[in-house]
Amino acid sequence: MALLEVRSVKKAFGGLIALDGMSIVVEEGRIYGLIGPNGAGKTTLFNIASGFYAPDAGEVIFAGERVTDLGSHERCARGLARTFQIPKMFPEMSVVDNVLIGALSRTKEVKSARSYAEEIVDFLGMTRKKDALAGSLRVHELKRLEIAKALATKPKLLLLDETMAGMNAVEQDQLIRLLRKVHDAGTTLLVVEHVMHAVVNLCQHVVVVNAGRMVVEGGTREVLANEEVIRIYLGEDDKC
Amino acid sequence: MKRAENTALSGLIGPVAILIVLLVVPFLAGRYLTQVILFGLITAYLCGAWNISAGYGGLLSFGHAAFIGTGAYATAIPLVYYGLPGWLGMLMGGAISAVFGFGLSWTICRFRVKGFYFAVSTILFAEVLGSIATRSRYLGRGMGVPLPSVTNVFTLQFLSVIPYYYMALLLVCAMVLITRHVERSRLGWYLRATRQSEDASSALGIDVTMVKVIAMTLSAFLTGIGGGMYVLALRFCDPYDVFGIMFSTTLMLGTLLGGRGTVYGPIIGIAILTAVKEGLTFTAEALGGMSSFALVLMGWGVILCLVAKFVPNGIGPWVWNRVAKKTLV
Amino acid sequence: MTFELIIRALLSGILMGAIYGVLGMGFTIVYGIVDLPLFTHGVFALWAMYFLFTLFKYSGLGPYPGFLLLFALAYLFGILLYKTLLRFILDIEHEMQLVFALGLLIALSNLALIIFGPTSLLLSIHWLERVVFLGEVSLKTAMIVGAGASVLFIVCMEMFFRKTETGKAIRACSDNRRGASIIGLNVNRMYAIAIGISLVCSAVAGLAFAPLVPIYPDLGFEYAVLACLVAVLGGAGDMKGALVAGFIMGLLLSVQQMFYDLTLARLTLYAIMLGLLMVRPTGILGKGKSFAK
Repeated sequence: MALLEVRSVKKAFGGLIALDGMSIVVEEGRIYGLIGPNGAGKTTLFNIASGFYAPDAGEVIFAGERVTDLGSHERCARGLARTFQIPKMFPEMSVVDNVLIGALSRTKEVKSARSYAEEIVDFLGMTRKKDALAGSLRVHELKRLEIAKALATKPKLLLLDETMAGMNAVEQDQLIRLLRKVHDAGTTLLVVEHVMHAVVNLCQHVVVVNAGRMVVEGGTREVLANEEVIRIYLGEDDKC
Repeated sequence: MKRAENTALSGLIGPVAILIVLLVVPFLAGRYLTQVILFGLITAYLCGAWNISAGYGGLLSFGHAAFIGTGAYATAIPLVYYGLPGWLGMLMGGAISAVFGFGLSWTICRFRVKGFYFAVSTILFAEVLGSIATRSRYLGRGMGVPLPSVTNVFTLQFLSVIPYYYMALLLVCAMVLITRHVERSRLGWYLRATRQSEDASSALGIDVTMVKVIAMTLSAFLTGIGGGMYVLALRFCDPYDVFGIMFSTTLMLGTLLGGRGTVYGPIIGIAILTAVKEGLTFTAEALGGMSSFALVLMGWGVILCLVAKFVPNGIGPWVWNRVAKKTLV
Repeated sequence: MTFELIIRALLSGILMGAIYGVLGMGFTIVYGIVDLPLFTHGVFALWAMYFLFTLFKYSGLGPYPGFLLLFALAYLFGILLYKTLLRFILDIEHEMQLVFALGLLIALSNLALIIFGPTSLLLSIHWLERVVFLGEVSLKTAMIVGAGASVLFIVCMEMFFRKTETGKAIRACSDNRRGASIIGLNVNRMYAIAIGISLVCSAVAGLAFAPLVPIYPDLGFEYAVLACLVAVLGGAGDMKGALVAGFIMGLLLSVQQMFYDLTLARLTLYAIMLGLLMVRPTGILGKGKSFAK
């Protein structure tokens, strides 16, 4: 079933056209990679899908429901969660309290939300640091926290924004394993990435965008061998 | 953020002890002291109301006097002209203030008015309402509205300060309970989250606008009630007083000094300020000729500057730990 | 509604507008260049007024030429203020900067109250009291001179910021604090000078107001709000805008006064500004800062 559909979305910022009739489909239960060169429109697409920007034209359909006019908090309520590339957390709260905020989106009762938050924290391997202040964490721990918070909202679809950026190889592999675990527990993932290593090892399906449009999509191996895709990336210094 | 659940019982011993002391004050202390504490209690209550939207929600309104004045006039005018009971006036004042609070916060969120512009907007709002009060003949113009000195339990009019004292004490207790409840509820968590990161909050399902509007509306409602209480106890409704920038400032100062976003912060802050005020008044009178009123206000300004720079999160918790350790252990 | 009355309202609106403009400009400089929302500013105009009154009372020296001494003191006080106080609040939370500004405003207002008392003081100097007639229209000399001084000062300031090295350096600092210090500009010195100049702006406004209105401490708060409003209407940080905004406000107030009193005129002004703040906080010329830090 198509969980997320972006239909012919257009978005311009002043004179700059970011999205020019972008259409993608995300099927439930899979892990998608969203790749493309710089300026292709990945971030804009991401923000429109998650509700932080409104499109100039086109529709966003989530789980069969038209969500184009809904804000990000309403989309979260419907099961569409996201992380931020530069982690945005609540610096004066502890790790588990940060996740608690996410859990509170599903229940009004603070007690039960807190126990669920603790489960999530354990699931993501952050138990040791659960009472540490979020503002004191290191970057790779913050990335983990980003995922934990989003996960606590019990999303059907989790959008991840360049989670691997700035991570070393060891940290990347840890995150890949973690995300696989999240997927296996029942969440569909859409991962925006520059780091090809992560795309190859994590995503079964890939969507390639360029110049505000979807270029090609399909299984990872086929897409990455595609001539046009290779041509788009020639001159880029991403690892392939 | 302390884990409120764990310290629930032990955390109540101190406040309950102080409550007991406050309960017997009118019988032990003279009229003057009782009156000082009475108005201290009312101000502490008002600080607590400001604390909800400003301390927890981060909406630092510089013009909360708008709600105090609204509550004041909503209580005073119907009482004087139509004999409407004071408590009904207080509720009415709260309701009208809530409407204003709702309108103000909704507009502010809708137009994303932040920081400096928000502060100036709130100041203007209070000034506009105050100007209306000083111009309107119906509202008594600049002379204000004196409340009759009678005793009427039904309308909450008393000659003695003692009934008002216990009403104010009741209000403060209610404020403590309300603040505790908000702090532990989902709203409290959402307020704290919104204050620390609006984007992160939005992404986690928090309707940032709704959260702020609820906080401001609640705060305005409670403040309006306090405004009514104030004029009943003072028996005078002066527009320059109830709508004045100094009243707004006192609310800010008490809460910030005592600790914003904490349950007892506002009370501790006002307790300290009351002591400072009495001290400065005594000094001014001892030095002869100096306006104690102006000296106190100048002191407020200085303290505000010091707090802004050095202890923006207040000294309440620090003071409480010191005091609690001495008296209870 | 005679023709003369209308002309008088328009003229006095423009004249007062120039004075409001220079008042607002002080705040604009602080907010635009040093990035401090120091809405205390109006209270410095009050202190300028008290200074001139005291100077006249005890030495017979009128505001013209007393202003020389006033400006020098204002400038030095501004530098001192920056070095001893404002420098330390540059990096605190934005909300707390606002709180600090309020505290400073209240402290200074009430200090004036303590020293000078609550009764209104009148600075009356015979040649300023005289009235000038343009046909049938009468205008106070004080208003004309005050407005003239304001405009003259504004022109000088504009030249300073555009033509002199120091002026240009100061503007560079406002755009990019770290960048400016990297290329070797002494940012602290630039900021101190800017604050000094902004205080002279307030002093000019005070100079212009002093012979026109009764002097009492509450004016401090009133002028502080007025300075803010002029700056916001003109676009916080935009100097030309501040002047235009000053004119608009001056006209708004004086035209309204043809129909009703000053209090109601001010009330309407505040209400309009309140609406404006919500809808278009970048000011009429649209060049101001639209959001806080």
